[in-house]
Amino acid sequence: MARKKAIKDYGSALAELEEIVQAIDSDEVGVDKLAEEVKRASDLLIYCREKLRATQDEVGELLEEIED
Amino acid sequence: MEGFLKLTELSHLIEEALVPITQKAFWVVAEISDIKASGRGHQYLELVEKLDGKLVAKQSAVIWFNRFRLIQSQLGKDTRNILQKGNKVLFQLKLEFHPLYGMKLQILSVDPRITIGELEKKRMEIILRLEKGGWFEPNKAVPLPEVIQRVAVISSPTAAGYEDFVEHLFENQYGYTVTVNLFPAAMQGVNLAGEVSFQLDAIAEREDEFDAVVIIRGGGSKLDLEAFNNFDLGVQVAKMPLPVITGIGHQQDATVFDLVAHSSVKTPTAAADFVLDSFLNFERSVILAFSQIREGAELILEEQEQALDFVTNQLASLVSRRIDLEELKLKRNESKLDLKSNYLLQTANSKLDYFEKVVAWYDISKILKKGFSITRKNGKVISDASKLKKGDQIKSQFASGEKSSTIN
Repeated sequence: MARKKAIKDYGSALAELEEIVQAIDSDEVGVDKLAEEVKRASDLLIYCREKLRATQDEVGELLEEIED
Repeated sequence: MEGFLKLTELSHLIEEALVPITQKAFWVVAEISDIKASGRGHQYLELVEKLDGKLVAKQSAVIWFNRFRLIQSQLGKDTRNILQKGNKVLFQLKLEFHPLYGMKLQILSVDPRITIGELEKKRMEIILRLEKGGWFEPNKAVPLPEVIQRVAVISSPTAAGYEDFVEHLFENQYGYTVTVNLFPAAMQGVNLAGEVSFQLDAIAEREDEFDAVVIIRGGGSKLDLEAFNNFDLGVQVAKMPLPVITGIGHQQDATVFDLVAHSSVKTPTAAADFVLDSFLNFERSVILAFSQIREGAELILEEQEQALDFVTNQLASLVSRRIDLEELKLKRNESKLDLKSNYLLQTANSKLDYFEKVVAWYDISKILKKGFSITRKNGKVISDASKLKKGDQIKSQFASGEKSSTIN
């Protein structure tokens, strides 16, 4: 699995997240790596959730502006 | 020299000769080549007949004012439309000969049907010509802007139609703003063609300033609209670079104008609505677009949230399952280990016990054969004689067999 240290954007983060889940599901991840992979997945999840929240707020503001 | 007559005498002769005719009233069809009113209200007409465009007959005619009043009450608003230069009219008239004024036709009444028929024929001819020439299409092909904000109006400023139009437009409940420029022209009568044509040219020259042309007039009689049935005017409208909308209040048959124009509506109010509708539709589509954008955005965000929730749950359950699996593996290995090692140990222990016994037994045999014996008291080996008292029971083990004895 390619390990890019910096999380670029929502799209690539989500893709990497799904990759990790897939790997764990198909038992590709050994016990040694499990904690590391789960840590990475958790980082990605947090990033995605924050990004989504920020987008929701921004879009909500913009829509309100237009309605006025 | 023969006898000569005085003019009055000649006149009398003519008068007499004409008597049979002057008593009768005739129905005569003729074209009005001119019509004028006198100060007193009498109408003076010039009647002609044309053959292949050439004049073949001409007479003067008069409608005395009281006759004219009767005819007016009969024809009503259409009086001016029927008694118009250029129209063929069916008159009832009688001949008058006056020595002083000469021969005059006195018009007694008018039957409008011929005129109406003629005008109708003319209208159909013009429509056919325009249709054949493809003149119905061009203006309809001129694109109507999405919102009609700047309107050039051709109408009569005194006509009720124009006032209705403007009022309806400016008092619209939506607050839309429309700019209206009036290009005044007569909306009936002989001057209509010329004035409307002039204004159409004026507007065409300023085509960048406007979005559409609206031609309106209030209701009137069918004959009032005849002035719109003009071939050249129709072609001019067809050629206009801006879309032309007509609201000239026709009841049944469309005029030539309506057919060549881009769109035609029934009344000036309807024309105002036509303009306002363009605003309404535009605003509606903007509002729709906005709600589609908002719905779309909200949907995307919702879907993403759900996707993240799903992945989170998936991850959690997968990891815990994985860990449980590993734990299970470990437990299995542990118990296997336990069992196996116990078994091994046990087996080893037993083996060791066995060997111990064998070795021990082998050693003792050798010694006993030498004549030694093993003395036991209550099963325990005695190697110290002082431990034995009188009366103790002892067992002696020889190389072969055992014997019991008592200490004395």
